[in-house]
Amino acid sequence: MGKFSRRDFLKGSAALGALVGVGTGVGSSFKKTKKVSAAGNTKQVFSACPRNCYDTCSIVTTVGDGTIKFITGNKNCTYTNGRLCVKGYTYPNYVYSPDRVKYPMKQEGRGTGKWTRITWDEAFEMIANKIFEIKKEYGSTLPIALNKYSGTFNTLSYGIEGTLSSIGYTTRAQGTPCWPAGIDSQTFDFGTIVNSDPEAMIHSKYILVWGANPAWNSVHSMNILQKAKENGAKVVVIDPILTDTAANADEYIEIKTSTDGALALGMAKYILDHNLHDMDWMRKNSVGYQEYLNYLNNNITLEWASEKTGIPVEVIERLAREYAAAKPACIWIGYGMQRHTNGGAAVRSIDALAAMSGNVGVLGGGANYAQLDSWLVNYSAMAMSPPEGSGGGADRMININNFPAQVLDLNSGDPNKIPIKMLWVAGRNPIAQDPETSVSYKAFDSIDFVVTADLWFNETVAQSDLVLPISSIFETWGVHASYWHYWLHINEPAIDPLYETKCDVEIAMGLSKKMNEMEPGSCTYPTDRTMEEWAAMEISQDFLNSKGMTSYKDLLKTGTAKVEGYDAAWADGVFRTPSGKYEFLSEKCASFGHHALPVYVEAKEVPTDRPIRLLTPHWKYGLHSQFQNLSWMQSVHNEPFVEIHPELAQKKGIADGDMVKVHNHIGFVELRAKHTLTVPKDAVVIYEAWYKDQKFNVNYLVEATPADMGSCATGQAGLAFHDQFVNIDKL
Amino acid sequence: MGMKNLQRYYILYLFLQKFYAGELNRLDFETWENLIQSLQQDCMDEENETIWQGLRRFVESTSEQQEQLEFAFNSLFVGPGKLLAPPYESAYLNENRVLMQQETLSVRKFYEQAGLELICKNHEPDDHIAFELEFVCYLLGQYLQTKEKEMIQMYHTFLKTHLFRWAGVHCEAIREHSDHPICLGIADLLDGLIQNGQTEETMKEGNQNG
Repeated sequence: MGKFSRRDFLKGSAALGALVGVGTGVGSSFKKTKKVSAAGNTKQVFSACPRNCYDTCSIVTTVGDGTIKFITGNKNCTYTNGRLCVKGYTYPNYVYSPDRVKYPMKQEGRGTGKWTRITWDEAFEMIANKIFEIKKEYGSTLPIALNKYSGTFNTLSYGIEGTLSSIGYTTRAQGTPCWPAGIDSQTFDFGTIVNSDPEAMIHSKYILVWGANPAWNSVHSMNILQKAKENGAKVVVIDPILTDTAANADEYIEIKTSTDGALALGMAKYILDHNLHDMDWMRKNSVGYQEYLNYLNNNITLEWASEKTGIPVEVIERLAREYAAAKPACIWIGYGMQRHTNGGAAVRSIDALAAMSGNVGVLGGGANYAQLDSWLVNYSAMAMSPPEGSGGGADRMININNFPAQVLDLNSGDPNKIPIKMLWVAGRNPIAQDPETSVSYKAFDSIDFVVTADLWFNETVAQSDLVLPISSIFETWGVHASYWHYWLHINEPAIDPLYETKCDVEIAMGLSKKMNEMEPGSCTYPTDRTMEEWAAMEISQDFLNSKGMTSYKDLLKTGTAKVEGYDAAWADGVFRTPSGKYEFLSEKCASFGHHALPVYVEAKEVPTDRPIRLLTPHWKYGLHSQFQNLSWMQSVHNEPFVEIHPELAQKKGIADGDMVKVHNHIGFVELRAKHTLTVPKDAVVIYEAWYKDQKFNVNYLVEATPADMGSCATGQAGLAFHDQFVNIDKL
Repeated sequence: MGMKNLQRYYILYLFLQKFYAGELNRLDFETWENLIQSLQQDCMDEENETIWQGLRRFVESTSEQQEQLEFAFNSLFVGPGKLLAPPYESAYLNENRVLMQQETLSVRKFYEQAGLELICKNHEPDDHIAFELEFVCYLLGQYLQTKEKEMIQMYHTFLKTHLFRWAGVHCEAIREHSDHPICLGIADLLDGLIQNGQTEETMKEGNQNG
């Protein structure tokens, strides 16, 4: 466009000179081309959904004109069988929403909305300067904290942890808000979490879905449950809420919240009394069974179990009889039921029920909670060493489930405590998702410098100094495993990264390059690998060997491959406990301050001044703070509501559709009431989600109450999300 | 249409292009004032009142307001929050408010038919207003320079089938979400150009009919 630059035709213009002096010239965004795009020139690549979800779908992405045309499920994966879910199908809208975070930007005053665009180089320099400043002042990088969790489960996203490891010893938000109590239970009982391949549920004759709602949160499992039903299985759902899964089951058992352990023990007592238990299996495979059976004999009655659970004695008897008689019978233990102050104990009681009835190690049986055995990955983006001579000695762990309060404690001015001066947030929206929202805001205010890497502008980004734009999974490489099914997926980039987005590992490499330019040897993160090389490094040799593959390229042919050998978890009878057997009696459990046996632990007492339980389960069209922010989802539903039983509503004078205030000693929310018979009479339900552009956040009502277990396997206790109590009043 | 009109439009489109490319955000106030003064000078023959309203808003903007321009600009057009007045054609014309669909690709095709493609193709949506305005300047500039009829035809067609189809709604969004005088002035300028375009179209039709 050179000849054009003289602009002889505008000799008389006064403004031209001024305008030409500004920025680049006309035509400089374009280059000459001879081709004209033709329709129909498409290719297909395999992608994978990185969300924190049972189903972790392999995706086939059709690409044309360098853009995503269509996505669907990968038929090579028999678990999802060529279909996605309602959330997954929104991905093209997600990638191409005009509202994505597009460029690195800095905010003049957190929460002011005064954002300016900066280059990546400037962003890296700002971060590097802050790191050097902290190192100089404190002699270590311990005042730098990372708060990251499951916003992306691409295994390459562990490069976020790697980023922090590569600059020195830092402070980490440790643990998980999701499932830790149950992990500990199964760690004490079995040695670790290993569920049977969910596809093997079709061999089951009786399926107890206990506190899980796959109709909303694991839709592909519903297909398996349906097949099992067609094969003659009975599906029973045990839940305080009449979920969509319950509505599709053969039977729904309404249980009083947080009394699941009592039901399991009551059923076991009936099975023992009627000699339906599997003594041979217990003798051969377990330790402590006699003590457990004694406990049942001496401490448990069906009347007691009925009183605790609110389930009639005859129903518990029938349930126990059916469960013990149907061989094999399987239990799916959900995560909701362990988010209690007695949740870990409850899972242990359920494990024991499965074990004593001879349903462990059996095809179509099991006490199925979760697994990590299929994660045959090298975590190569994560494993970084600190630079030589790093101060601090080791990373400092603080509890992810009480992060804001712990930050405030460290930042209280106590000279004996190393404060948190800088926070790196990635793969997470803690202000939306953490309990005690008002404390979260205070904690953020106490930190000098906050960097958040995200695809979306959310509450956490709003409280940051710097936002880094993250690429979607369609714009980078990935390796993905599930914590439920056994398929391992590879994710190939479908399109170029839009705007100036980068993936977490690219950010790590960029920061490393900048830091080492400024201070050689200050960051150990390698900078010379392509994302494809990182992905290739991620897949373990064990996995390749087991599939007869020679390289990751073989996996690119199908997009997915299944880790075999888990049709019936623990079929080999080799348990990963200290004794090598199933442990009804666990010394390890006792060493963490719990009872060694799977005894009943009383539910948290209902406070007299806040008698209504608040349940905050997942919403069907969102996943934590993800998806609900999209226009498509908002067009289906864009207003939070509280579900209330008509009987409770009548007592409170609340009509269907009334605006109400739900409140307790730490906060309140105002929203519309919806009458429904599906919720308990002594509880209300508000679904957890992030409603973009709205101030609503249910976590203003949720206290950081620890669950009973979690600290053995995950370092920190879980969160008793469902042991929250409130009042409700009409506005 | 008179050459003088087209020359003036060229300047106005160029000014808008610079604005939407973010290149006026960090000007010092003196440069800004000089620019606006000379822009006014170039517009002496302009009869459209909306364009003049926009120019007056620029003149009246204070140095404090000019300093705040980048924040206002980003909240409307860049982010990181939800874009209050997205600068993309497809954000208005796509029924799901989704970018990079057929609406964006038809803009891409138009560029290609003029022998051009974006250097940042597939990294930035082709239908960002700064690219559309740059393309308009290119066509108009080519015509003014070479008098090739094809260029002026493409210029009119592009405005009619693309920029003018959505820029009006975009201006409404600016007015709804911003009280920054410079951003409001930009909406006036764009609207004025659309009005002029419609008037000229009507006159052309009238001539043809007559």
